[in-house]
Amino acid sequence: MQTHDAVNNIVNTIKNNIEKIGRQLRIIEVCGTHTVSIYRNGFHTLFKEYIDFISGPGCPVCVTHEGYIDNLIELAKMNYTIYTFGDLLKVPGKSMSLAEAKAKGAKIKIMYSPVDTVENMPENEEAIIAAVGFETTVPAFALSLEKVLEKDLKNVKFACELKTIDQPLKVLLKDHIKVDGLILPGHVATILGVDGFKFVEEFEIPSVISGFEKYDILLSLLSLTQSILDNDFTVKNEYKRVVKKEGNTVAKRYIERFFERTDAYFRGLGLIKGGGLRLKSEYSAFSVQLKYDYESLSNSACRCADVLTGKLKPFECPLFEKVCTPQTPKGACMVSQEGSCNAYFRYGKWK
Amino acid sequence: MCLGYPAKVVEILEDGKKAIVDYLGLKKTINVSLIKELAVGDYLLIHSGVAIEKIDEKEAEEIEKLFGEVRDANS
Ligand code: SF4
Repeated sequence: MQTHDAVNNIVNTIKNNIEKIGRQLRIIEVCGTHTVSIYRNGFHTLFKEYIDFISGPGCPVCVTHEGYIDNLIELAKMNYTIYTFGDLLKVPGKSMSLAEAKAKGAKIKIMYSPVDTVENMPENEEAIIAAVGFETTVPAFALSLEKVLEKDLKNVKFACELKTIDQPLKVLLKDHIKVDGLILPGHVATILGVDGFKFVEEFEIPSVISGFEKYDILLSLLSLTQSILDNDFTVKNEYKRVVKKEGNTVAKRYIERFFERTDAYFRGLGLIKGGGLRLKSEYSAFSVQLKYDYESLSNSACRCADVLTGKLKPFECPLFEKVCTPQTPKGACMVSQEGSCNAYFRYGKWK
Repeated sequence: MCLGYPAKVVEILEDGKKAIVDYLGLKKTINVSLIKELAVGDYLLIHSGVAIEKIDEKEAEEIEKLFGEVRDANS
C-alpha cells in the first residue's frame, strides 16, 4: 500500500509538472538500458500524451558499424581467435555477422570479462579482443591490457572500437535533435562522475543522471520536470548511491594511462571528432590496425541512423517486425537487448 | 552489454585486487582494482567482470524506504 502511494504521488507530481509546463515533453534517454527500463515498466504508456521518449546513441552495440564487424571477420579468416561480448555476435556486417562466420568455422569466442579472458587465454592462441563499449567498459579493457603487460603476453591484441559519450552527445544536441530534457547514462556517469557531464549545461537543456530501476526512472523524471519548470540547467544526480561528483578516479586514471582520444564512426551520427578511444602509441604493439571505407557504410535499408537521432520511431521503419526481428535483425538496434527497435519489439505496447 | 549488477563482497583475496562476491546466492570472483577501501559486506556494482563502484547502502535504503520496499535480508 505504502509503495503504491509513493509511486502514485510521484507519477501525479510528474504529470502536474508537465501540465504546468503546458506541452508534451521530448525527453531523450541516452542509454539503451534506460530505454529497456522505460518500455519494460510501461512508462511510455503511463506518460503517453505527457512524454515522447526518444532513444539516444548510448548503446555501444547499436552505434557499432558494419565496417568493424567486417574487420573482425577478416581477422578471423587470418586465423586469429576473436574474443567478443555476446551482444555483438548478431550485428550484421556487410556480408555476414560474427555468428554466421562462427557457424562457418571462424574462431570466435564469447567473453564475459576481458580481464578473465586474458588470464585464462591458451598460450598458443593468437588472440584479438574486440574492445567495444563506452567509458563504463573501457576500464575493464585497461585492466586486461595491464594483465597482458604483467604476464608479458605476446599473443594478444586489441581491436579498439571504444566510444566516448561526450562528443556524440554534443553532435546530437547541436545538429540533430531538439529535446526538453536528457536522462543521462548512470553507468557511464559512475566512471566519469557528475563532473563528466557538466558540458551538457552549455546547451541549456535540463538533465539528470539516472539509475535503472523503475523507481530510479520515476525519481529522475520528477527531478527533470522540476528542472524544466525552473529553467534549471544544472546536471542533477538521481543515482547518488553509485555516482559521485568526481566519478571513479581510479578508473579514470586507468583510462588515461592506456587510452587516448581518436575520431570514431558512429552508426547514425557518422564520423565524430574525438568520439572514440584508441590505445596510446606506446602500446601500439597491442593494437590491431582496422581499415574502414566510411563511404560505403550504413547505406542499407535499415533505418537505425534515423532511430538513433530521434527522427523515426522503430515501428515507423518499413522493415520493423516484418523482416526485422530479434531473430533476424537487419540492424544493430534490433540486435542489442538494449537497442530501441529490440525494446519496442519486445514490449511493444506502442500500438 | 552495459548492464551492471549489484553484489555483496564475501571475501577479499590476498592481493586486494580480487574479491569473491555473492550475487543472488551465486559466488563469483571479480576484479576489484578500481575500488578504494573495500571491506567485506560492501555492495559493489559489477560490470564486465570488474567492480566499477561501491554502492552506498544508506542511499539505497533511503530509496527503498521511500517506496516502502523491504530489502531481501539474504541478498
Ligand atoms: S527495425 Fe530493424 S531495420 Fe528498421 S531501424 Fe530497427 S534495426 Fe534497422
